[in-house]
Amino acid sequence: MLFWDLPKTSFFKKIITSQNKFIYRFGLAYEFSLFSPVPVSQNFLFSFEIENVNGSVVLFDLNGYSMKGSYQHSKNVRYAKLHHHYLSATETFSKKSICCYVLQEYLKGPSAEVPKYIHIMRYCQKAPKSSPDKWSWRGGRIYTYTVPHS
Amino acid sequence: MLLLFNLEDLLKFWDTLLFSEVPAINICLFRCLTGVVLFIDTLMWIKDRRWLLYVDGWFAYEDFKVGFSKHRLSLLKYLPPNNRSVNLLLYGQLVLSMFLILGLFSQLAAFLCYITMLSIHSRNPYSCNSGDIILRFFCVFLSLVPSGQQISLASSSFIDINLTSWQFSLIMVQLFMITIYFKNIYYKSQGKLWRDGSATQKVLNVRNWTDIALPKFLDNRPFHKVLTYTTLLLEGAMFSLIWIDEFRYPVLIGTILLHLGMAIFMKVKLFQMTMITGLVVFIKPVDLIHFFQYISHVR
Repeated sequence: MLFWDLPKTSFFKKIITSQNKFIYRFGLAYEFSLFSPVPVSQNFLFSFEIENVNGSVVLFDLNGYSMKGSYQHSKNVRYAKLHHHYLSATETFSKKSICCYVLQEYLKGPSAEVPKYIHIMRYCQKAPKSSPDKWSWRGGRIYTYTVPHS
Repeated sequence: MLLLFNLEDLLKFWDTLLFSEVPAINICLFRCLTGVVLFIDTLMWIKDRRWLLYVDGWFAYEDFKVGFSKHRLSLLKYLPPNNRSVNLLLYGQLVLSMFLILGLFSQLAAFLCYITMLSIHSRNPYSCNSGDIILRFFCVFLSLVPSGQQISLASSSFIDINLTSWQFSLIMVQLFMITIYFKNIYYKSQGKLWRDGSATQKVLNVRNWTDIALPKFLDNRPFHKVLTYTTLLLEGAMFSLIWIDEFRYPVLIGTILLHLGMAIFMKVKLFQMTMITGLVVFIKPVDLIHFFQYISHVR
């Protein structure tokens, strides 16, 4: 158990890694590095855009994420983790899944059009050079899910 | 002959280290606190199950089946694919966590909690946090040792100073805890922001992770330097100085305050509660017994 925490390049970690299948299956492995080596340091917002076949765009917000002032707050740590996953550059599986959920919820609405794409929007907080006290949010689409048979 | 002698010594050391008798109070308190944290954790899952675990939630059952069910063990793979199965696991876990708190069938309850937690975590790994994972490990440890003899409905007396357990029950949790701190220090030492003392300033200004903003008069560079280096110092002490008797309690108190501070200001509350629970195993059993005797005397 001591060795699971060791750096990936260490001898014991390599032995453990060779048994990855078993260890992961039984939930006996974990990567644990709270706010390290590079801690979270930027504020991000995220939302969804539903682009319909007729060109109209509808915004969609998820439960569990509220705005407090100009910032997005997660309900609890689980939502904060998901926030991180949805905005990460590499992860795509969870993004696809959440887009399917957004689609499903959108189609339940009475005024739903025929959707073509679901976009995940990411906004990053940047300080304009001219006015360091005033923050603005800049960003754009980071993931697009194409609705099948749209 | 020499080899035999050494082997004998080694075996004796092994026996002393792992199988000498220590008062069972720590592991019993650890079990009870783990049960409390697990109870709260399960309530959180129940509250958010509609979005995080249900079949048509944010991470749909079909995606779980494609992405994770082959590599991770989950009872939800074998149960009918509906929301009732999720409820069954969650409410089952809630009851089991009460068994842990009360010390009833503690080993079995801990093992079943491990299975239910594993099933739930595997269902939506994206929403799991370090607190969930550590709690799962705690259940594995508790399933290996009896811990229901004290602070329990199953025992005749609340505290029994004559009750003992094998030392390895404490050692495995202690080693697990120190590896967490060790790894934290290892990774943090590689980060520039941790080295230059500005890490907490960055973290505490990310609103998505904070619950309460730091008071304005504290939100300055010198204070954050102190905070960053104190964090590193305490985490470093938790795998080194903790073993020295003279330092044990100052380090423990400092670390508990660190976790409490993070629990107040940040969203990682479950993780902090879990870590504080784990720190119980570092308290000297004799002091814990005195503490409980003092409480019962005051009452």
